[in-house]
Amino acid sequence: MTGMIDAVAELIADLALVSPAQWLLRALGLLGTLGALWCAFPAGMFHGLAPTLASLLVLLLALVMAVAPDSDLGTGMPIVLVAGASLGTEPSWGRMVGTGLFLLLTHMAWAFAAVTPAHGRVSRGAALLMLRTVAVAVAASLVALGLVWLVTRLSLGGWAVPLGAAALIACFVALTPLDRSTGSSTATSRRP
Amino acid sequence: MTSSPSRRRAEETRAEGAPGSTGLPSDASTPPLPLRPTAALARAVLGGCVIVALALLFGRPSVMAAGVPLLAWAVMARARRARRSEESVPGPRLMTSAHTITEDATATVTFSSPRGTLTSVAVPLPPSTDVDPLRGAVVSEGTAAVSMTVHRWGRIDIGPAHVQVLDAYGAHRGQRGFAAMPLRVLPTASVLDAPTALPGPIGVSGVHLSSRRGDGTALADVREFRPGDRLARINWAVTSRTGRMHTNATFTEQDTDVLIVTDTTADVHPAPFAGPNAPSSLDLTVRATTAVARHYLSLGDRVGIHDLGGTIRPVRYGSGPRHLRVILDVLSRADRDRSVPISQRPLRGVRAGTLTVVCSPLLNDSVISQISQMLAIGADVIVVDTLPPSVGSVEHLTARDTSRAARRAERFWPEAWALRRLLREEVVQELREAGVPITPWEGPSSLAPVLLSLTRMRQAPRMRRA
Repeated sequence: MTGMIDAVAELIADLALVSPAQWLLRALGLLGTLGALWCAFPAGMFHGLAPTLASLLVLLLALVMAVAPDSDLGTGMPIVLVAGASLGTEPSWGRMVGTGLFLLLTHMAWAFAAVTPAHGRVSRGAALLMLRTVAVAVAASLVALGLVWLVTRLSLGGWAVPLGAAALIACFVALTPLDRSTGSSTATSRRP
Repeated sequence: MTSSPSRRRAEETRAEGAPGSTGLPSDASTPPLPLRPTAALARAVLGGCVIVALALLFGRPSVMAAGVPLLAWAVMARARRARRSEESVPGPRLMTSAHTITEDATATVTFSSPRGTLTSVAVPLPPSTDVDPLRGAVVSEGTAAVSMTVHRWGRIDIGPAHVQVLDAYGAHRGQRGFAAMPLRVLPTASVLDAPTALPGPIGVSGVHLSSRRGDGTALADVREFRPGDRLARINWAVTSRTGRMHTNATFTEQDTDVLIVTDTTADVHPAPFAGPNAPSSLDLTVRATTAVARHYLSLGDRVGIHDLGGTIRPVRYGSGPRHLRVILDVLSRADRDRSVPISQRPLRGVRAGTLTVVCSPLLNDSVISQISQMLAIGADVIVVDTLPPSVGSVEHLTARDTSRAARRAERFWPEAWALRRLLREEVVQELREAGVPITPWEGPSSLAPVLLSLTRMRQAPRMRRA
């Protein structure tokens, strides 16, 4: 019993060392996930079998990401979410735009949480730079969403499907990182 | 970074003219640092493309809207990298504000990267050091700085530091490690609040007035001229008034040898309840040595150091400000964590009249015999007790919760030290009876009463021995 209490106390003491910036970023990631689920399943996360399974899996992956924000498991989260949302009738544009923006918020929060020290302080200059980046990314997303919406309004022929697929493959090849950075992402420091 | 008032007081003081201090910040340039994509970029590209592919595959254009923001983020990150040519950035540069500082002073370690990038730094926390930011880790735009206020003298290693340079999206990063850098911390040379008079000056020149008359500057008397007196000392005013030749008589000025004997045969650590920055016996020894050396060197006396434990390199007699720097340098190089067995060094340079200040916790029998030897030679011996006050404290013994402490391994630690301190009292009493004043080191005013009493004792009439 004493050992268990010591272990819990040690865990709490370790958590107390985590910086407020990290708590904020990881909480934003979880809140963004909940927002994306809320947009994707307007009838409720646990309304029906497919939404329930998708929501549980997404929440599990979100928890994994909250603990280890640099994990590759996070890749599956938006895919599962969108797959679950599009199983029934076609979701509305508004719902999907909301889902996409919440997923973007979640993604950026975890991206920053992964590269900043868990116990470190984020200076004002760094926080402002991050906020500027978030604003630019959201603005670029809105522009891109507008363009995509306009393109889907056009009635193109069947030739557009292979063209779109080729464009997607080209985009994937161009953006895919070939030389990934590895190593400790959340460098910490402790008193020896 | 904000700074507390106490930190501001101890603002980056470089030890003036300290040996080894270049007076310039160190600047270690490093080769370019390649920025590589992070897992976040891979997640965004893969997740976004799969969602858009699903939308195309199942003919549901609205689903694309969920993947487009992730792709837009990845495109922006890649575009920024291409636009700013951030395949690699100039390597982070490391600068330290000082190589040598004094106790309680602050040194700042700065890592510089190009503006528009995020610099993340993590530095391990050295012992007895306050670090700002608290955990030694910070993320800043461009330049990141970590300040360290060191509370104990000696050599500490700053680092090894881990530095990450990131683009503003967190989509690319480069990492580099920096080897630990040594920082020398000199003991604080506090100004000793002690009299300038010496119990027994033995030199023929110096700042201390002797009771003998001879060549000097301090007027002792105006007397009639005698054959052999210097013509330059004739007092013409009195001569013309009295009509007979008068001359000024002066006191001679003297200095002395001050030998500081340090006992580093054991480094007694403070009691666990004394606090994290409580000084050990070695700390007290070094601080007392620094203060005594500074005091007598400022008076123009010759000061030497002899260490009985071999931790501190011996210093020959010398005088002047340069000699103080030599002493500070030697003291700061003392090896706190020495593992080599102690071989006691024979005492040298003591003669009758030498003022000998022994800084010791008085726990080693051989040190007591060395003190007896000094007394036998005829030296004026003062002992500065450097046993930490918390060690063997009876107050803690009665106040603590024994039921809780009994479970721990160190449950009898205070009792054992209390007994050891009681045993030591016998030695202290014997030394006092032998005429050796003993005073605990409690700061710059510790030695004043002892030195005054020694001087008075010397000047008092004494009985001739049969």
